[in-house]
Amino acid sequence: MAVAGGAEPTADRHASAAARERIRDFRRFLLVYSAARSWLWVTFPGGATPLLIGAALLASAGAALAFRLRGEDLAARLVLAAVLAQAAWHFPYGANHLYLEIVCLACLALVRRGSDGRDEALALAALRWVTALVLFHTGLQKLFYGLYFRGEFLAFMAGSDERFGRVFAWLLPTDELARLASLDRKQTGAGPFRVDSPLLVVASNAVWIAELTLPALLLWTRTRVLGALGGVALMLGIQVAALELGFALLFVNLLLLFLPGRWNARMLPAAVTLLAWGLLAALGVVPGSPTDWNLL
Amino acid sequence: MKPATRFASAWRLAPAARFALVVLVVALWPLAHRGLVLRERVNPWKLGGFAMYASYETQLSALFRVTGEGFRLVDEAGLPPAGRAAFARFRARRAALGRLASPDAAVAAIHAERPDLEHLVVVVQRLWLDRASAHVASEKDTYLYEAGRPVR
Repeated sequence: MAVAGGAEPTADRHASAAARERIRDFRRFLLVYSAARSWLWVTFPGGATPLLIGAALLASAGAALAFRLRGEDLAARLVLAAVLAQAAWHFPYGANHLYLEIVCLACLALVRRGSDGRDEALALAALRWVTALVLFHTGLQKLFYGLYFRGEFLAFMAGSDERFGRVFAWLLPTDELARLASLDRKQTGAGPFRVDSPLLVVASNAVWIAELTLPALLLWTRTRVLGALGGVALMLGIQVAALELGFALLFVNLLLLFLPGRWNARMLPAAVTLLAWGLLAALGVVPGSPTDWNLL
Repeated sequence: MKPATRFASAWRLAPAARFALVVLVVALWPLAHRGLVLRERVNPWKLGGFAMYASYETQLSALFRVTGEGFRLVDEAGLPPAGRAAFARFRARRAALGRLASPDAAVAAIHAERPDLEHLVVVVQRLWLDRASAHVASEKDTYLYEAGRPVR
């Protein structure tokens, strides 16, 4: 009996052990991320409240616990409680990636000690679904609002936002960029936010098409790696214009869950360095500003 | 199968169901969010609908006093602190929550400190980038108050 049925349980055990390692790596990243973000909130004007300081302390305790084998299952629950308190305090102004952080923490908090890797396998599958769904929804919403087909949204942003203007200066004629910049966006009838730039229209459509197609690649095992690498490339591309470092850091780590190997563990030192820079910059110890990079 | 065994089997399935529930929320919430944006004018960038960078939208709120000559803008800097803070809070919440944020509490707080401001009007102008014309479009919601109470 043991010999006849031995191969499959062994494969299951290997899969469970792999899932346990990957979830452990992701948990360590996410809890460090949550703790650092929690302290960043404290450093900003009006942030040094007892609730936010308490939440940051709780998140830090959870992050420390994630690096100990004993109690690591409890770590995500502590941090989830801290982040839920922050989200309630900040409601309704929380960024979308704060809610994504909560969803990821909820997946990790559902992992029970002693499930022999089964819960970790479920958590890994759930986190992968969440990644694909979030990517898909960002594309679907752009489709719903219909402002990407002729580049209207990017044209709007190009003239109003310095970050976008810096990028689209390459795609738009100077006089067109100047026209867009001169429009008063708080005036009814301002416009038109359409431009005669095939490059901008191509870039605009490439964004939503990629966001809708990459999730399909992520869900199919054979194209998973391609989907993940495409997703990372898309994130990097978006960062050039949007500088949404907080979202990018979280989302790239979610995409790394699709790659073979322990990429979350490999990338952890880079993530920690980035978060440490954000904290030190917020305290004025090193140059830069985490708010300019939306590292919140 | 005995009821106790059935219950035990269902309990064993429960962990998968709990994870599935989280995934289901992520799958469905952005669609409900779209409904809230259309119906209640919730800011597409807020409340976790993942519609950030999909559209431009802003809501500007202003407080007016009704006089015999029409509406006159109330100088908010001249309001007592609690009323001023309440209106600032309303303005910020309105920009995120759309029509889900009512000005009633803010106007009541203003009236409690300044009973002389008997007839007040709150005007909320919503501006958005219209996809058909590619121009900025707008609409207004107007709320009337008498003695701090809404006039429906």
